[in-house]
Amino acid sequence: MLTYEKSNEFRYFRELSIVWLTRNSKFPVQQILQKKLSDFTELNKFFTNDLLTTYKGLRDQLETDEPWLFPTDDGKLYMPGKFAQNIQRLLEKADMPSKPNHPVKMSQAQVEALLGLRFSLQRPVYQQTIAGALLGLQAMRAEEVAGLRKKDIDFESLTIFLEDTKSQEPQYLPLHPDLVKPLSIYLARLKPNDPLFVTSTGSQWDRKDVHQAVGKIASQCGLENINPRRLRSTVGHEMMSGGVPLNGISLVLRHSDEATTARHYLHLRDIADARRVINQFRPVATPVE
Amino acid sequence: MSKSINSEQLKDLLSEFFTYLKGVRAATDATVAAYRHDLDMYLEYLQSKPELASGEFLINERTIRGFVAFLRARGNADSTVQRRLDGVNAFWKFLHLEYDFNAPKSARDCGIRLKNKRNPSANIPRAEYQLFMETVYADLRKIQ
Repeated sequence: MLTYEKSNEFRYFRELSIVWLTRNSKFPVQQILQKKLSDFTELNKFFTNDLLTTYKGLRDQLETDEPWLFPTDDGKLYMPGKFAQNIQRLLEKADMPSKPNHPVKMSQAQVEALLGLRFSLQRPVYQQTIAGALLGLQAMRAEEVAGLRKKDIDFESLTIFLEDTKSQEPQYLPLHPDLVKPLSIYLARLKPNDPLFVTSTGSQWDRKDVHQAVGKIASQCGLENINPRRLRSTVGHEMMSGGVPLNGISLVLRHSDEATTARHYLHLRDIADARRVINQFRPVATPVE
Repeated sequence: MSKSINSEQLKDLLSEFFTYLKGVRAATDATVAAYRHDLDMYLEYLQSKPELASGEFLINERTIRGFVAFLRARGNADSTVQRRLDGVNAFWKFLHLEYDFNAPKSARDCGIRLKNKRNPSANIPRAEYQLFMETVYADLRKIQ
């Protein structure tokens, strides 16, 4: 099922793909709306960009048995009148004249303006994903994620600067290699002092928004009770069971005292070590079957 | 023994306590601020007790029980009550160590039952964590 953010993204790529197809193929809108999933490869030949493939990725997440390539949000056949209305709304959102709104009659400036909406419509999904990665890879705290700004990410030294931390002292965090590329692409669209994460009204996220983002990713994969604190704790546990030394985990989790790391995570290693020993321990020659 | 402190003495003791927290217990500014707030709440509770003189400070099992009831009546969750008790108990311990007050008691020893949902080892099962991260990675690849 598509989340609210992904539904917006789905609709945007659907409208843009239809506009592109109408302008670059000889098919009328009505005929395009009746195209089926099996027509994807044939239609993708008209594209010199990733519009249709990105759209297809979102279309595949729609839970429906209907065959339409460009269906409505609930999988039904999409009608030309509704498409015209939606294009008009998108043009208004892009601060462009809403007429003409027929793909063939639209000016190049109108089309460019629609293409320019891409980042603003994808941003909520990107934010959700990056926040999830910062929590699940970097073991950051919700407040720390919410407070990030573009200037806090340094791609030269591959570090994240945290100004407001639990210890109230600025800290540096090594940037996980898997985050470098997506973050650099995402941040290229932002100004130096821009917050990394903003709400639909443009204000910076707070910890509640981080919790909501995690909840949305979790519900997307059918999980419950996943939250930033549990993700941070899990990173620590995964490292511990992967044999990472205690002082290394303490560094990643930025505990001011190594005893905190030991108190929360050492018992796991103790149990694993004790299990290895007890599994070898045989006081009698014949084991119980 | 349970001693009573007047408001003048209390002012000096609190100032000494916050210095002790930073100097002896190496507490951060955040901890000191949190404990200060906890003690403010405790003083607010004491002021609501008609049998105590204005500004009189008292700490014992009975007042701790009363404080918990006071916090619960304000709608505080058990986790918040526990947090507030941390600050008050730290001050009680300080009074015990430095001024021969009666020994501090844990909430349980005071007859208080707190449901503590916090569990530092409440990690996500590996299969669920992997599923979550696979979803995140799949979406990270789409950022372009």
